[in-house]
Amino acid sequence: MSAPATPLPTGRTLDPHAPVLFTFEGQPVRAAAGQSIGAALYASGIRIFTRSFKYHRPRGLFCVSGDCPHCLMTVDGRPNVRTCIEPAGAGQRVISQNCWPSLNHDVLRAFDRLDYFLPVGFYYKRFHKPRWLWPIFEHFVRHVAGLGRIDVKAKPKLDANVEHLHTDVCVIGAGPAGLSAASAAADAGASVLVLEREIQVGGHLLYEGDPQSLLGSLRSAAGKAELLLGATVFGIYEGNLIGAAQGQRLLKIRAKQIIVCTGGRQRPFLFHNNDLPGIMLARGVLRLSRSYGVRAGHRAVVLTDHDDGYRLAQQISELGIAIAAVVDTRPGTGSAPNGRWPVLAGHCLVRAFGNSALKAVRVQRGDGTGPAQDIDCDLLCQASRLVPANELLHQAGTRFRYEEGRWLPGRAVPGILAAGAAAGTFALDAQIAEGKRRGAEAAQAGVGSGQPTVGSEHAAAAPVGVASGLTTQCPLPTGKKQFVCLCEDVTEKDIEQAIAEGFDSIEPLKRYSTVSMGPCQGKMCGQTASELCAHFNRCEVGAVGTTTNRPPLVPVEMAVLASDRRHHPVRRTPLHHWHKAQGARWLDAGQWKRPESYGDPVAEVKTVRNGVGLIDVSTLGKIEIVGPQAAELLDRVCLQKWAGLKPGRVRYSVMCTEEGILFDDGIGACLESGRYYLTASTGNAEAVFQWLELWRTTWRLDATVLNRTSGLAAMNLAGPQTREVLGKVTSLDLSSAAFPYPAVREGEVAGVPCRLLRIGFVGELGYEIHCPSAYTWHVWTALLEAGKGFGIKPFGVEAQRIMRLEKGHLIVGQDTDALSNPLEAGLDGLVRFDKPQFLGQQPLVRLKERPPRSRLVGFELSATQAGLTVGPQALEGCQVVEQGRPAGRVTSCRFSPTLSKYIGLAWVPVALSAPTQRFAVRFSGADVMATVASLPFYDPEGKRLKV
Amino acid sequence: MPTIATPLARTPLHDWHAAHRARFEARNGWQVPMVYSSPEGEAEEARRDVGVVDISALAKLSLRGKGLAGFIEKLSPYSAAAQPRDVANVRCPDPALACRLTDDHLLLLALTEAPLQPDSQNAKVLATDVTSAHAGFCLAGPRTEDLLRRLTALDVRKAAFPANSCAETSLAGVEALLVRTPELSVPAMRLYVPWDFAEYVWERLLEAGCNLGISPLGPEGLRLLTAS
Repeated sequence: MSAPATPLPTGRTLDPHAPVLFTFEGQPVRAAAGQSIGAALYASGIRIFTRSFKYHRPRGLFCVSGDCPHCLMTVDGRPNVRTCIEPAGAGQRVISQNCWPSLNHDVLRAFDRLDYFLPVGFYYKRFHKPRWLWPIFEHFVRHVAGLGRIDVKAKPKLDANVEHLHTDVCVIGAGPAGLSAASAAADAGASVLVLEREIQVGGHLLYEGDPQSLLGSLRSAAGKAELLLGATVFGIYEGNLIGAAQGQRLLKIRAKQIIVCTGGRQRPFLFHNNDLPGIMLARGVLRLSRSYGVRAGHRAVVLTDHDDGYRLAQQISELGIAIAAVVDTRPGTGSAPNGRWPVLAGHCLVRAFGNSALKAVRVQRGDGTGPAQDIDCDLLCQASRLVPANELLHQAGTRFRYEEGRWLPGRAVPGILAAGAAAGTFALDAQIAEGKRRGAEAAQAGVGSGQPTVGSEHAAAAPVGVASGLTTQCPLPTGKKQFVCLCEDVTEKDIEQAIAEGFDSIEPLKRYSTVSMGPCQGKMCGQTASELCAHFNRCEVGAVGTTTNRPPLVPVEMAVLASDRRHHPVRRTPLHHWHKAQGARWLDAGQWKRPESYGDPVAEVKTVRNGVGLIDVSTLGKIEIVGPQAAELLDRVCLQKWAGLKPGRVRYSVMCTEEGILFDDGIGACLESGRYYLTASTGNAEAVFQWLELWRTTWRLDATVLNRTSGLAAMNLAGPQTREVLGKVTSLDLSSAAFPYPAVREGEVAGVPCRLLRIGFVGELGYEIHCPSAYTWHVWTALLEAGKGFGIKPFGVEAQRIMRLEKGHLIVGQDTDALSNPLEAGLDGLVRFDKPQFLGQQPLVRLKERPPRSRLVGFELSATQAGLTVGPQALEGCQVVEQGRPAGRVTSCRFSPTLSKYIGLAWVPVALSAPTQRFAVRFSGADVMATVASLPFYDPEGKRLKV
Repeated sequence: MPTIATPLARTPLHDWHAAHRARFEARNGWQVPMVYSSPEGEAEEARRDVGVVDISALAKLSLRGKGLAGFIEKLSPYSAAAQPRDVANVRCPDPALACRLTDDHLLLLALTEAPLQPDSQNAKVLATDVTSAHAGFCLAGPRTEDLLRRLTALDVRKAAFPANSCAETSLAGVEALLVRTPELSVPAMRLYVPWDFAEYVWERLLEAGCNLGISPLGPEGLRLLTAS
């Protein structure tokens, strides 16, 4: 293995004097800077890179382009890294996958000899009787088959990010066709973005031949286009959205026109043992040497089916690899350039020999005459004819037709073009010409308005001879281990068997045999599978068609895909940092952060019940409805009547869906005639706003719905001493005569114009103060300052929840679910059936006529249950049982410090819903007895609200 | 009633500014962070890479209703009229922007903190002061677009989103209004997000822009950019 001193033609410079050290299976490996992990391992003598999916056969480097599954390893805990293209980095920990105990000596290799017991689809057939056998077997199969393991403890990568790009024309692939297309489009005035997965432009020119002058001129012509190197496209999505990964960067590119110039690729021939380490694609051999400076072997047999194979043989020999023979599968005679190598024309390759590495190949005349001939070699270069790498065109919706052994683009898709080998054009000058043509077309359409179509003519001359892949090896070699799908170990025999079993069209065949379902997603086997399917069905390949190509085309790390979703927007009230400084414990309420408590919720309850407390309720939804028909809108959306509500008055408001299910509750206030103010619960704020907008639009009502949630903050000052505190900072008349319960007033608090709602969610005299968000801190601190002499304290959501439970107020979503209606939830008194129309009217009318099935009731736990070893919240969600059967559930449960007992809300059958009745709650396998209590638990007459 | 300190409004990033040693100044009833280090230094950094200014205190007025038709008709969708005059009896100080959000919704954006008020009531126009509903940020500097394309799918290239245009879109996963302003010597963009998402978006801007050289910029530094 030689490391050249000069820069490689592919843009990499390998510096053997600046080695990179990493470990493979714990052993140190030295790589030249710039090499891939796979190349460095190959250079150090490693030949077995992985074990195959099913039979655990040894596999080694094959395509050296990241297309095949032969080099997957776990690198630094990341499974299934394609090591042939992954750059070697200092200190990397590389380990093998899917083998035991080691890559070189894998005992599971025994499966290779058990193939009789493991036919295609064996997991549908074997080990299902008796039935207990399958779970055991499944566990075993899952353990021994497959790919790398995900490190569930791995920390997510935090350096992944996303970038959104926009361009008139996006060219995918910077080979000769792509560069020509880019230059033509840019010259025509379009903005052009070129995506290239390699670190250098040039495509196949970099590996085959050395037209540096040509590449130089192509590159400079495309100088106006923006070039992104190392950017691998994994999908084309609706609306000409391209998904690409550039290292840890996710690129989302919107292009008016896309030109797919992804080139072509070789695919494996079929013969016995066609997967042995040492058998490679000819392009892989060239890439290994010209990208990474590693020679693939010493003595090679070149297997080809077209004229270009001789040129590739010449290229391979220039790498210093001796050519033992060129096997040309086409009938007739051929001759090597200069007659340097023996040429076996009209021969096919029957089988390969070797246990864990290629030792020899056997060839025989294709017509079956003549003796078989064994040729010693350590490398087999499969120089098969290129097929278009057209998966992205597939994804974009292009249809294909099968012609001369290749799928060529047929029906046009607007905005998607193709050029070069991807479009079936293989001659270099034709590729350049086609690229220029497509580039000009795309620019015209991208900048102008027309929509071009995918060209159907192909400048490349129709190749002479038979097609590549299947038919080249005619008569078909009949070995047992002729792998079609390298990812999933599907052999040609398996395909034949599956078709014989009736899975004879390509999509069911794919699903049953799993051909093309592995990591390469059919890049190596898709076309061969179609051809075999046609062969065994005795029909045209074009009639068989292809399987559907879907993103991702290449493996993409989840961290990269998720990079624009790893942040979750956080909403903070204007007092967030004040709460934080006070040691608030946080509660996540949707996107909001709310203080759950400031340490001791029970003490906070006592403060409010006996003195005065202040809570930040800025998260409430705040909606203003203005206009001549504002009351009409509320009348139709809510259960109550609004038309009669006088300015300055406030009303509890409840909304139902059209199905009569409780949707949200809040407080509605009439600010003036035709102007209403509505609060909504924290989690429902946006939904309620959109609900009102929807119905305003539907009914064409003359009203405007304004979402003021972000613009206004709110705080609730509550407790018997509220009036004294508030009186210090406002000139509003707070007497019950001037400002009764419940009512709304507008006035200044601490010099800030505010809206005050006198309501009592926590059951004490209280005012909800709404002010512009920017003044929240000022009002809040002014109230705390004014309350100093009264022992004012902030309180959190937990204390509020305890106090609302003492008052028996339900929380929509907590105490109700998607089946709860207001009649059974105890809100039946609010429903005004005499209104002409409101949402949920019809279902509620019907519900009213039938006896209720269950009720939401308050309950108390007897004193003996007070010894619960866990918090009473643990009862929430527990079943109410009646004669051993579930009959309801507990929705809220807390210890009430005010009443010194456990209280809660529960859905119970009507028969159990009268006060003093007892029911059982199933908790941790035992029954806890509860007694129905009348609501509210605290201050039933509401005297404390009206003081 | 005891004497109470004159209320001073705070931007949603007040605590962030204080933690980053901003020098505050009272302007039109607002506590405005004027400068972090020096206006010249901040302007220099913005001129080189990109700076971000908290302009949440600048007055905003939402106008809705059929009474706006006469004004809105002259504006193409998603455009912003510079220096609008006499919109629904609102006296707009120079310079201001009137963003056409829908065919009956205008958002007036002032360049000072002084509240925008209609001179008289117009029954067909509903005016709402939304100054503290939308936090505002101004990005200024040559790498403004580079930063934005990390956070929004909107095409922010100048050709697609020229000066005096606006768009409602998602920015860092939050609903936002983007406005391209013409007034600076460097590319500039104004972003408006709901008040309570301000800190989150600000943090995301600084994080996404950290390898683009983003730095906070005070209004004084911004003025230097405007002048040059």
